[in-house]
Amino acid sequence: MTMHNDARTRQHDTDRDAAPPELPPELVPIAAAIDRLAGRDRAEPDDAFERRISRATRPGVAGAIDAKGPAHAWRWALPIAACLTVTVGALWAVRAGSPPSRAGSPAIELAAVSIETEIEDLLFIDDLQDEIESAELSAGSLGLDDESAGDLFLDAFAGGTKQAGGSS
Amino acid sequence: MRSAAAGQPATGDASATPGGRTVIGSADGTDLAALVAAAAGGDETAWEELVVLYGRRMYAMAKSRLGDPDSAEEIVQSVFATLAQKLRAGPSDQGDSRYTEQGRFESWLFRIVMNRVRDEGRRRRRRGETTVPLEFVRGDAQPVVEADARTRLNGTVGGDETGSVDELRSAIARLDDKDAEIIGLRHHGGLSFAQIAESLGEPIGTVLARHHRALKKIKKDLESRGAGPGRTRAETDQEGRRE
Repeated sequence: MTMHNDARTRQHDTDRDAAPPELPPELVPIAAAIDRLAGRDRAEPDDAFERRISRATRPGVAGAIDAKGPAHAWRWALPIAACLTVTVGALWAVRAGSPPSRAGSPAIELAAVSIETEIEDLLFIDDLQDEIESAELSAGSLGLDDESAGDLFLDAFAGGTKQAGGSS
Repeated sequence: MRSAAAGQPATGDASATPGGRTVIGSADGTDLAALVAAAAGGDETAWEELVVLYGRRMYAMAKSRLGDPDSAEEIVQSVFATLAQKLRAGPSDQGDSRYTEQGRFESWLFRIVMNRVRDEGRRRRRRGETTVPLEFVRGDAQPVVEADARTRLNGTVGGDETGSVDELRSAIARLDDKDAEIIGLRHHGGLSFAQIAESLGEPIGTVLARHHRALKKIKKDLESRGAGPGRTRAETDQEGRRE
């Protein structure tokens, strides 16, 4: 294919000097050598070269140039960067547009109060447990009988309840 | 087949095109005008024929100036994309830049190629790159950009007459831009001197003089590096050993 390409391109160029100007004899070898070098360069592209170029560029598909060179390698970079910028901007706008101004929200306040109460109750139960354990220890160490120990336990329980009620 | 074409100036035959059509047995201006008109009218086969006719010539010219196969192919694609636009453009679409048939299609086409190559050269210079591989400019380090270039064509590009492919590429790369353009348009692009004169907007006499001057510079350059016409690299090496 290349040979006939070359043939045609040369032949096609019929006005390539119908009467070519004569070169000085000492320059003829150089000119011939450059012609041969040019022939090598023309023969260099692969056999699919013409098909590739014509498909990519024929009228009607202008702009559908194959992504081959470094310039084309970045052709998606701008759209992707734009998409990322828009996405990040949108996220930022959403966050900036709705600052955490929930201090006055009744639902939040109620929830906070509820949590506080629960924590206090848990602390009270812990305290009560401590009171019971210390009462049991005291009763044991004093060698009280079951009835007296029960009275002491009830006193301690009543006192702990009173103390807890007073603190709240 | 390709290697046979590489070194041989072609003698033309009619040939099958990608579309299976045999065209341009004798590609004169009329044929070309019809082909361009058909391509402009959306004939895909005609478009393929234009690519077959000019793609490799454009590639070779760009490659000779830039030294880089990828950039050369990119330029060819870019020029054909531009050509598609300009051929399809209506009279009011693109003003004077659209193509109007005046029998100067090749000059016009290669002027676009040349401008693209210049743009790429400027872009590379801005980025601090050389237009062609640095090895070619310096002429040292046995420059090669592709494995193909490493091989010698019968030992030398010019048979028994000149130095290696690499040396010749280096010598061309060391020409100034204007001289290198003339060499590219004439030898790689295959344009006539008249077409080159049209492309460059210069008198044909100036173009001829510059071409001669460019060839002389290349010859002198090769000779100064011991690889000039009349001696092969082997001879040069032998000479060096004798000394």
